[in-house]
Amino acid sequence: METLAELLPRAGGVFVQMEDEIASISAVIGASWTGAKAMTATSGPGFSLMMEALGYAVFTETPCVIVDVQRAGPCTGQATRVGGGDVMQCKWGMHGDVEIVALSPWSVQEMYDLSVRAFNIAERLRLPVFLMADEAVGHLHETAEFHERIAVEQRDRRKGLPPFGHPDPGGVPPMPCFGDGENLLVTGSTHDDRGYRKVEEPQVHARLVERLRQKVLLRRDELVDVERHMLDDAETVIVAYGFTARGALAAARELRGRGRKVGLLRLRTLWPFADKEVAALDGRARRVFVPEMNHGQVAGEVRKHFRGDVVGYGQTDGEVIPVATIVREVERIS
Amino acid sequence: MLTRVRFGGLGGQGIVLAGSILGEAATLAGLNAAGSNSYGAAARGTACRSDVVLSDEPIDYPHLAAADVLAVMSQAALEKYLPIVTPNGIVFVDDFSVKAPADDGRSFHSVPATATAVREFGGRQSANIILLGVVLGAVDIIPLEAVRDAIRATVRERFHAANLRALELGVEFGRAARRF
Amino acid sequence: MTRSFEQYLRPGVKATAFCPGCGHGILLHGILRAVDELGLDREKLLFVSGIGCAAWIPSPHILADTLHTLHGRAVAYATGAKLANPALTVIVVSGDGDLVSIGGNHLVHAARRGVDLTVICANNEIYGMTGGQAGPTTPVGAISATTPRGNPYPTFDLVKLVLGAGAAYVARYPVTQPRPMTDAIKKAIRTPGFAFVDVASPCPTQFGRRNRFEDVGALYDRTHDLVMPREEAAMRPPSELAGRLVVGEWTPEDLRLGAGIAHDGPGPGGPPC
Repeated sequence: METLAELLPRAGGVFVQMEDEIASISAVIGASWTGAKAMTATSGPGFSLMMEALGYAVFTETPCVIVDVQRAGPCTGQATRVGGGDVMQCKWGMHGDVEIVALSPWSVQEMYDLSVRAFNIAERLRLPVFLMADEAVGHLHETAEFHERIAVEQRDRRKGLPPFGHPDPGGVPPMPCFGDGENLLVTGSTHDDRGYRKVEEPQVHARLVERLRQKVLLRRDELVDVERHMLDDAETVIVAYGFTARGALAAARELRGRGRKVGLLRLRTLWPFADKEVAALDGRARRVFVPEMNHGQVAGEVRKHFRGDVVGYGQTDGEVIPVATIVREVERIS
Repeated sequence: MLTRVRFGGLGGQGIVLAGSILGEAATLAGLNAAGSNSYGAAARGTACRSDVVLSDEPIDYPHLAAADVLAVMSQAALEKYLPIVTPNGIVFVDDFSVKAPADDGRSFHSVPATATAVREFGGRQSANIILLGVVLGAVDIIPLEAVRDAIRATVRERFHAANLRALELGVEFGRAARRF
Repeated sequence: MTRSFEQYLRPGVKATAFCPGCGHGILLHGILRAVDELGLDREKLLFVSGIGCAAWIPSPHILADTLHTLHGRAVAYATGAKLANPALTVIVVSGDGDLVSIGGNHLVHAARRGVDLTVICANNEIYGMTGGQAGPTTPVGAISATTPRGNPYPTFDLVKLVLGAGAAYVARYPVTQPRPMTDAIKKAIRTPGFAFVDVASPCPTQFGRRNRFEDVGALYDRTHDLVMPREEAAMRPPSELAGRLVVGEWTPEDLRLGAGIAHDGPGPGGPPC
């Protein structure tokens, strides 16, 4: 945020430090409705504070980007140490049923590239997109390449159409903005396709919630992004994400050097979950190993889709999982 | 060629800045660099470290499991990080606050970083840059001109002269250590 | 000549959800009259509200951009919208519980920043929509759903609070004085910087019934009788100001003078009911 405070005004943007995280995400949503691309960043309890307004963003279909640099929780926990315990929170921390998109960077380069992607997805699908980094990536300094030109998704601001309804399942309505003369009616209550509150009509609520879910689920193929390393003949597959995946790749290479048939399926999208990609490991891999900086948040998802053995390894001591630990654990289960 | 450097000390000593300058300098010199820092919630006085991995190849894993070079400004940091120094690694300690052990295949060098900073600049603030200079004088990692550029790019302008001078003083200590 | 404000209402909205005798309808009228008299460009007009009866004053009734947000958060949403598009005239309309209790932190910080917003607080001295619970503006001794033996806590004086936080313009009037109330809203909108209008708006259903104002008229009489202009209040001893509704306009200059900011009593509500 300190960097944004410096750079954003130079690029014609606006930076404001609000009084708390609740206010920050609220201001982001207000700004987004004027047509601006808007984001905020947080970690730990600050992410918990944002949950209420994130539900509002989902329900009012407001594009925005939230960077969560995960740290060791719960509570204040270890404020400056790494954690990975917010994977489920970004999906299920809001009350009610929601589908969101969460990306998982593992390098400085991807903090940049996936930020761009997050904004583009947010604009295209009109929803909050989470950049689920962790402290290890957040505190990384690395050689990275910044591009002269990037592809920017322009918001569909067509006027005259219902801003909250679409005839297609998972359809994304256009989003004219405040000041466009559309007399927009935006509410966090259940609403019809023009924004009028319809809080007592079961079918209106069911239809709205379902369309919002299908916006994500029907596009899972374009949203889910995985990297496959040494999977062709792998008997043991490590499924990993975030900084841990970098250690997992180093471990897999080391294990290959020792003659072990180990590969890595790296999740660059956490939500929607890479169910098909995990299921595709069936019949080839004999077991899946899931190291993560929480106690099985992704391992549990993997178990739903991979029918063989799934062994989780959770480390929540505020340190990254060492390469040697992953090597040791994979050898132990192989 | 892969070089792994760890700076260790206490918050407020400029450990993180030393690592940042080294990483920035490596990038300016055309190398790949990855740096990571660890520090406590208190800005001053708690254990902190700064790791830098330098390579002419892309860096797959950016953290250190082992260090080729360790430079420390606190006794606790020496004791904590010594186990990760490789068998033929090189260790620099600031003699103001750290007592170096006897060589054990690894070479230990005690340098007056803080003492020199106090003598030359009237305060301890430049000790980190002197220690960085020591490392660069003793180990061929990157051209010094890139480090000077990195200091100019990282440090506020009114501190440029003092920091560049501190670097040179450190480099001299480092070169002397190399002759051992 | 009477003017029709039909053009300012969303065509699809047939009736308000306000209870018979609620003051919020008068405030809605005052806001529309202020907008009309100022000749504001409706395309650049944004109303932001939180949760509660008062949040329904603009949404869905007013035909302009309306952002109906979460409980207490309206001012924070409004800040984001105004900063991202300064061409918008941004008016927050919400209740006392919403703006001052849940959203108290957002309110004082927006005033401190001096963001160019107009915040209108429809102050009914109670949480109306959620069932008549006590709020930070409920008078001492008043009966509410959560203070069955009378509210034991002092109230916020919103004029002092918001002026102290740095607002450029603050006013207080009841809906029983519609013309000065409307003029204050106009002034607030014209004020560059943060402006706040505390509007006393009686709530017969939740406040009145519990506090034995069976008759809506009696509740309005109470509000009317509590009014004291700030000029008069400045000449009275503090003992005579307790519970009075001191009305008028205030600017940061009044803070400097240190006197006559508002009544020194427990709040705009009446004595123990």
